[in-house]
Amino acid sequence: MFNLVIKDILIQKKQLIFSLVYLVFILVTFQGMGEAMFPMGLVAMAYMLSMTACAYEEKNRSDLLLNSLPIKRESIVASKYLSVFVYTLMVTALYEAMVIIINILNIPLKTFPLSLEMFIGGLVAVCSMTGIYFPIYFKFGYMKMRVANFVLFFLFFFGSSYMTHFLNSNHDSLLVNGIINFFNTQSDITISLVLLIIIAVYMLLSFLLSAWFYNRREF
Amino acid sequence: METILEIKGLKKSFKDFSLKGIDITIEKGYIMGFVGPNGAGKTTTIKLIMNLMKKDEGVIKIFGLDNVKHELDIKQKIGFVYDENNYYEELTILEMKRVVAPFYKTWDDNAFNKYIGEFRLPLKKKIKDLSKGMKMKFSLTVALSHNAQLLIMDEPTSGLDPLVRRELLEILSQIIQDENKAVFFSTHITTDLEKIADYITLINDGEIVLCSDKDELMNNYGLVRGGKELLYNLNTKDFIGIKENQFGFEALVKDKNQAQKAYKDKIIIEKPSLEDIMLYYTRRCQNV
Amino acid sequence: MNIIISNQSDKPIYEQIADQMKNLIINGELSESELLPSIRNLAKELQISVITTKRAYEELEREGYIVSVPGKGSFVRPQNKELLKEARIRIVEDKMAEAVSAAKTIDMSLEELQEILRLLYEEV
Repeated sequence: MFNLVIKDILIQKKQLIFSLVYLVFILVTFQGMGEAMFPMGLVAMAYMLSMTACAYEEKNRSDLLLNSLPIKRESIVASKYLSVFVYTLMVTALYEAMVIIINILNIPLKTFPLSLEMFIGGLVAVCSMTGIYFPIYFKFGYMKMRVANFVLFFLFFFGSSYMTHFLNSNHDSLLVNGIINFFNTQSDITISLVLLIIIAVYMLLSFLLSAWFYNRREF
Repeated sequence: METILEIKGLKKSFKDFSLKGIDITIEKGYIMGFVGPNGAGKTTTIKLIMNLMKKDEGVIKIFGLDNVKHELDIKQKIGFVYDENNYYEELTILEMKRVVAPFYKTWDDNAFNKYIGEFRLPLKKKIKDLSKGMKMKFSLTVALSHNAQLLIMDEPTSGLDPLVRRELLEILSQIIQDENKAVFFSTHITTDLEKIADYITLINDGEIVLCSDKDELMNNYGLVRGGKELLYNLNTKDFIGIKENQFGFEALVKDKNQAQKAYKDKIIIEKPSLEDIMLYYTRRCQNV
Repeated sequence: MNIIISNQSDKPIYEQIADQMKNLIINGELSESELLPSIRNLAKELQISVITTKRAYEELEREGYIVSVPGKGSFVRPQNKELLKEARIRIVEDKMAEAVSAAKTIDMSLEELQEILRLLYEEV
């Protein structure tokens, strides 16, 4: 299964160089965003890499190849999920390396060394996106997913502004209060842990759904 | 004789096409040619064998095992070559091998290198930069590098020049030196099979119309030509597909000796090519 | 050993192979107990179906020219000397018949023919 992840990285050599350039760009231009620059950059890059990998699958019609090899369909699906985490780690390592280089070379840029919150925040953002995209991809293929992407993007955009609005105007509701209370009173570690568990369950469900879809696909 | 592939009553329906309960059996040690016009159901059959599609009804057994229940074990021992390259165009041959090889328990690097050498394939070249013939040879190399017992080929020669096609046929007859192996070879270019195939299965519009030992086919069938007046007072049941023209007719007969006896020197009988046989059979189906 | 097949011929390919092998055995080009090429190898070399070569060998076996030992291959059967000699005599007869008919077309007398034969016999 891991060689499928390696395959995804091998076919994206060009994109990897591009993502390096992109990371520098983010570090320079998103100075004003503070710590949020990391999750932003991470989401953009992990998304770009996983979508490009899917695009190459489509272009090469590799479903025929992969499903003719002695590989379980679940493994094919799992490798795509696994690759997202690999991209996350790669981008994180690159980010941290750049922060260190900037500091050593005394380049006049504000840097935000990686913290646990930043990493968890990035992970949550990446997972919540891919957790939705992958089931659509494994059900309908890349071309249709691109349309869905467009819709989802706007849903996210308007959805999040609606959420903030909703949270602000429903301060008295028990549920909202409870959630806000939880984030205010618990330690960072506990919050991180809870978020991690939620993300893990969410990704597992997403994976199961993808696998269920993919097992029913015909090529 | 041991059966390597057994298909019984295989059905699959689509909106505009259906496989209508087909049967195919391949014995160890032989090459089966799977012939039919485009759209007859060859690729669908192969996709069902490879579990790329789900069958509606029927049984597919490979090495005596159900092809869905034992999918992974079976695929360990199947080599496949499809009409279009499905390997990642962005990877080099060497990179592609490194991705594919670990999936096969019995991957044989010596065999791989042997064929790479024999076919003069450039290891460091990206697959997208290979010619169509070379892509097919690379697919063939992978198919032959893990001790596959059954080689499944879907139109491997379409779009290739005669030289490469001949090379492929030579490789196939080499493979079949091992009497435990078998080849299932689908094509609409019948000259490929005329030489080396042991059995011929002819499919048309989702149905098997003919399945026979190739020699028997070539030795018994005859292409008959004669004057038109024959058509009116003769038993047309003897003929498979009749093509009339202004000056006479041409038809296929199952038993040329019998035809010779019946019509003596009123007709000319020639040896048909496999293509003739295919054309007359599919034409007849269209008439019905 | 040569085996030349024709795809155009009306004679089925297995028959062509069987006939040529018979000749090779009768001529003594294939000697007693000699191992014949395997059916698969022969099929590969001639680029024909395994079934064709198999059928040719089956026919040769049925007619008593060869024996097949499972797992070992096919061998030229040790022939009954008398039979083999008869077969060879028949070849001589055939060729002589040819010579006679050729002689007759130019009105050569029996004596003249015998004289030629005597000379040739001493020469060879």
